Amino acid sequence: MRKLALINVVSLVLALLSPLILAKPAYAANFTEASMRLDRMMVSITDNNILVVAKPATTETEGKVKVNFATGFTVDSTPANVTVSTSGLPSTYQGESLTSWPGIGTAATAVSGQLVTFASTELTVGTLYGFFITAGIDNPGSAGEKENAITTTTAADATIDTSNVAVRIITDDQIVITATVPPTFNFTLGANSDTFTSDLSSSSVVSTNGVTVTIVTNASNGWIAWLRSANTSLDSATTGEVIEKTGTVDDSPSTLSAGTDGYVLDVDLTTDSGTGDGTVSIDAEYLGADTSSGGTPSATHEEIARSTGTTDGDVVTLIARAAITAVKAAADDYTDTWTVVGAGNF
Amino acid sequence: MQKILSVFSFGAVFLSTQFFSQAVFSQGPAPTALPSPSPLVPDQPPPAGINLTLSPTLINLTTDPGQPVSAQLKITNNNNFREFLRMDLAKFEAAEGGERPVLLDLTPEDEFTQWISFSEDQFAVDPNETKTIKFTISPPNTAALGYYYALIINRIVIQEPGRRQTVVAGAPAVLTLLEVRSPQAKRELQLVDFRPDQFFYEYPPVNFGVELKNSGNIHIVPNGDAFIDSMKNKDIAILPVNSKRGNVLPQTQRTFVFSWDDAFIVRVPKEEDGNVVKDAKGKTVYTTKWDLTKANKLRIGKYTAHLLLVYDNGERDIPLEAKVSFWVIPWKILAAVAAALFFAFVGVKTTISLNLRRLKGRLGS
Repeated sequence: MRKLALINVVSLVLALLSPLILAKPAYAANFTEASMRLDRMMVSITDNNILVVAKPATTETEGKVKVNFATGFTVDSTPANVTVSTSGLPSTYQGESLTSWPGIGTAATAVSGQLVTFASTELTVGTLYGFFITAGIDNPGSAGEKENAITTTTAADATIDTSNVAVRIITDDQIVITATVPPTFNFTLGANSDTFTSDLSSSSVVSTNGVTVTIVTNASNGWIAWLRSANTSLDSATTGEVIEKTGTVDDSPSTLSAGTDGYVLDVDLTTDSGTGDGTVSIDAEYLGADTSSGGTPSATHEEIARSTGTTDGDVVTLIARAAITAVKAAADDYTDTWTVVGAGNF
Repeated sequence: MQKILSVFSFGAVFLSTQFFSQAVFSQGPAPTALPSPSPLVPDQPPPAGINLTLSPTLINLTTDPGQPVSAQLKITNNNNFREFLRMDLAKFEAAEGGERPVLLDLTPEDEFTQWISFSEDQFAVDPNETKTIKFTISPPNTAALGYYYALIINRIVIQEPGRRQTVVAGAPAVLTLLEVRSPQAKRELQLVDFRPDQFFYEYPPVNFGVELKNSGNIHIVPNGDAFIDSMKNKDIAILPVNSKRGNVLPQTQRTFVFSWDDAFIVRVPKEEDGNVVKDAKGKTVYTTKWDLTKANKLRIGKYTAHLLLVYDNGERDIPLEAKVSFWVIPWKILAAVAAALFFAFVGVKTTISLNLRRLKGRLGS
C-alpha cells in the first residue's frame, strides 16, 4: 500500500515536471539583423518602395516571411496587389553583402489586416537577405515612430525568427502655391535721391536726410538687400575732386572726423515689422554707432540688411555721411550713385 | 551719360527716317512710313522712388542638357506714373554660413548668362499694371549641374544728381536656380552638427541648430522632423525642420534653426509698446509666460531630440539622423516647492512635539 502511494506521488511529480524536462522551449529568436528602409519617408506616400532586410539567427527550414505593419500604414487587402521584387537589390546594405531573398515570389500570398505573408524558401544563418515590397503599402498619414515586425516561419507557421523594426515617418511641409496666394516681393524706395542736410563743412560731419527701403514679402526664407556705390566716393565733375570713402569693408563701421575727408554709408533699422515671422538685421559693416560712423561704400554688391522670414513692411534707412578738409575745392556737385538691389532668399 | 546716348540714338533714328522717306518719295507714289526701331526712353527721369512687386520670389528650374526651359516673372508697378524698366543679369553664390546669397557681377567666363533670353529686354509698365516677362534658358548639350542667376529689374533712366545730392536707384530681383540634369550630378548632404543652444534650461524654448554640408555638386533641399521624447513618453512633440524648403548650395554649409516652445511655462521676448526690449548690450530681454491652456505640459526632466532629415538623391530619400539630450529644470519652482514642504514639515513636527510635551506633562501630574 505504501509502495503504491509512493509510486503514485513520484508519477504525479514526474508528470508535472515532464514538460520542463522533456520539451524544448518554444520561444522565437530575434534575427541577428533586421531592417526596413522606406524609399520615401514622408506621410501619406502611396505604394512606397520598401526594402526589407534580415539576417536569420535560427537554423530551420523557412517557408514564409511575414511583415506586420504598424497601425497607420495602409495595407492593400488583396495579396496580388502587394508586389515584391529582388530586381535592383543593392549589392551591399550598410556595408554588408546583401543576397536576394530566395523563394520570395512576385506578390504576397496572404494579407490579414496589417499582416502580410510572403513565400520563402530555406535561408542560411549568417547571410543577409533582402527584398523590395514595390506596391500595396502606403505610408501613415501622421508623422512619428512606427514599429513594424519581420517574422520568418516554417510552412506550418511555426515562428523561427522575429524582430521589431522601427521606422520614422516625417511630415511633408511642401508649400503649395495656389493662384490666389502667389509668392510676392514688394520693394519700395522712399526717394530717388538723398540730400545732405547742410553744406559740407570742415567743422562737422554732415549726413543726408536718409532714404528708406521698404520690403513687403511672403517669401518664406526672408529677404536680402545689397548696395553698390558707383563711385565709392563723392565726386565733383566741375572740380575733378573727390571725397574718398573711409575704411574698408571689414564687418566693422568706420568713424569720420571733422576736418578730414571721409565718406561712409550708414544703414539704420527703422522698422522690423512684427507681422510675419522674419527678424531684420543690419550688416555689421554698415551698422553705424552714431552720427559720425558708417560702413565703407563698395563698388560691388555688398549686403546691407537681411531678414529671416516674411514681413508686411520692414523698413531700413540709408544715410550718407561725409566730412571734408578745410581746403576742399568748392563745388555743389559732389555726388555718388547708389544702386540698391533686394531679393527674396533661397 | 545715359541721357547723351539716348539723345544720340534718337537723333540717329530721326535722321535715318528722314533720309529714307525722302528717297522713297523721289521714286514715285506716296511713301509708306517704315517702322523704325524706337528705344524705350522716357521723356524725363522718374519723379519718385521705385515701387515694384515681383512674383514669384524664387524660381527653381530643372532641365536636361540641350533642352530649353521657360518661366515667367510678373512685375507690378505700384507707382502712379509709367515705369520704364529693363532686365539685367547677375549671378549669386552662397555666403559664408550658406544661408543667404552673395550677389556677384558677371565675368567673361560666365557663359551660362548667354543662354537666357527675355520676351522683352526693356519694357514700360503703366501705373498699377502688371507686366509678365517670359524668359527661356537654353543650355547647350554640354551644360551640366547647377547655375544661379539673379534677374534684376532696373530703371532704364535714373535721376540726375542735384545740388548736395546722392542718387539712389532701386532694383528688385528674383533669384533663379537652374539644375541641368547630369549623370555626373552628385547629391550628397552630410550632417555636420545637431545641438540645442544649451543643455540645461529653466524653461523652454529650446533652440536647435542643424548644420548641413553639401558635399555634392548640385543644390539640395533637405527637410524632415525632430521628434522630442521625454523620459516616459515618445514623440511628445514633432517639430518640422526646414519647412521653408531652403536650398543648400553645392560645396557650402548651411545651418537651419528651429525651436521647441510648447510648454506650460516658457520664456518669451519682453515687449513694450509692440517693440522687443533689449538690454544695454543689445541683447533681447526675456520674461516668463504662463499658458494655463497648457497646464498639462509642465516640462521637467531629461528630454531627447531625434533628428530625421531626408533629401532626395534622385532615386530615393536618404536619411540623416542624429539625437541629442537636454534637461529642463524649473529650479525656481522646485526650490519654492521644496521650501514650502520644508516649512510645512517643520511646522507639523513642531506642533506634534508641543502636543506630546503637553500630554506628558498632564500624565506626569
